Amino acid sequence: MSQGIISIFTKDAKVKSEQCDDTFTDINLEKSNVIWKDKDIIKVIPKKYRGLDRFKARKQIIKDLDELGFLEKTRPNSLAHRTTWLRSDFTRR
Amino acid sequence: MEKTYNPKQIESKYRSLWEYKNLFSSDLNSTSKNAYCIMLPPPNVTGSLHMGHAFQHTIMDVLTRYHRGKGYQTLWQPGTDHAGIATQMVVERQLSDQNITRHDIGRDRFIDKIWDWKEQSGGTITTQMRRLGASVDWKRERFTMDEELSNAVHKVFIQLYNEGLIYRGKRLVNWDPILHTAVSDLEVINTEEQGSLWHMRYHISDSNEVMIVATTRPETMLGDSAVAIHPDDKRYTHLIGKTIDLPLTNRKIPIIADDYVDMEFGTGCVKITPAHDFNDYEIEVGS
Repeated sequence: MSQGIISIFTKDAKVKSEQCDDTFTDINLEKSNVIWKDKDIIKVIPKKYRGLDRFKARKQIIKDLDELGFLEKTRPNSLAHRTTWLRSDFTRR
Repeated sequence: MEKTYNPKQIESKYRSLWEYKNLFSSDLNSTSKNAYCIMLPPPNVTGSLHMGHAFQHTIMDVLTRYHRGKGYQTLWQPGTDHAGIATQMVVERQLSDQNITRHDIGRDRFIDKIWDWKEQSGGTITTQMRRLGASVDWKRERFTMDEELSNAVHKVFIQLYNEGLIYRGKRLVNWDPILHTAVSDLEVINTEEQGSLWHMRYHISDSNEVMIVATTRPETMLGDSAVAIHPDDKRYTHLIGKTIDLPLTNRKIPIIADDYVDMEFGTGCVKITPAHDFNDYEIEVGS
């Protein structure tokens, strides 16, 4: 059994912090096991990552994982990027 | 008479005459036993009509005129579509050309600008349709945000809901952090981008063993709620039910078995982040 649904991002795709209390988690999914409340999610996010934009958080987490010996290796990879044509900055690549 | 055909003189004269005399009114042939109706799929007010519209409109026009000619009571219903976000984007692009954002001018003025654009674009579209000679009933022209049309949409939604044909539920959605809205699957574009695959070491609690999981979005590890392996994967079955120490956090998360995991792919260990991945979400709420 997994520990449930832990949404770590705000609607701006920043890591949740005490300041941002917008929430996707105050909902009741009929089938879900556990949906964490924001107040509980914030507790399990280390202070140094709170409030960071997701790309900044990525950089910092990779750096920290590497320094602590948790990073095995990094490989270049082509990955699926999801965007929408509704965006004003959308250009078809 | 001119030697070559000049559409400007001939077509503009007749299309004005048609409209003035109301020749495409659906009130004609009202005693006919037969009726024929096409509702024009309303073009979005995001710009002007393109060749595809001209093609569609020609087909609809031929069908409409054919049935009208046979004496049917006939309606080709014209209109335009507000196309919410797409229209907003057109207007935002125009603002950004002047280095302003919708936040600079505020909600009310921004909505005014959208209505201005609707008048302009909608006007272009109906002018184009008139020039094509589309035999629509212009007296019945509608816009999708007209009050009675909006009410009709509400009514049908409620009816479908009451009949159990549509339902409402909370789901994982495509969220756009810039637009601040859910985006439908149809509006999502999948592209390929050069990125990295990071391999992380997750240590089994109170053990020297390690599992390697790979991810393209390492920051989501903060929301990991399990590590999954295939139930038949002999390399790891002895670990089912144990936990790993999630790096950078003080959390321990369980090792679970799930058929969804592909043993052959990577190390056969997958991090499960139900809040931020559709497959992981399915593992959490599905089955």
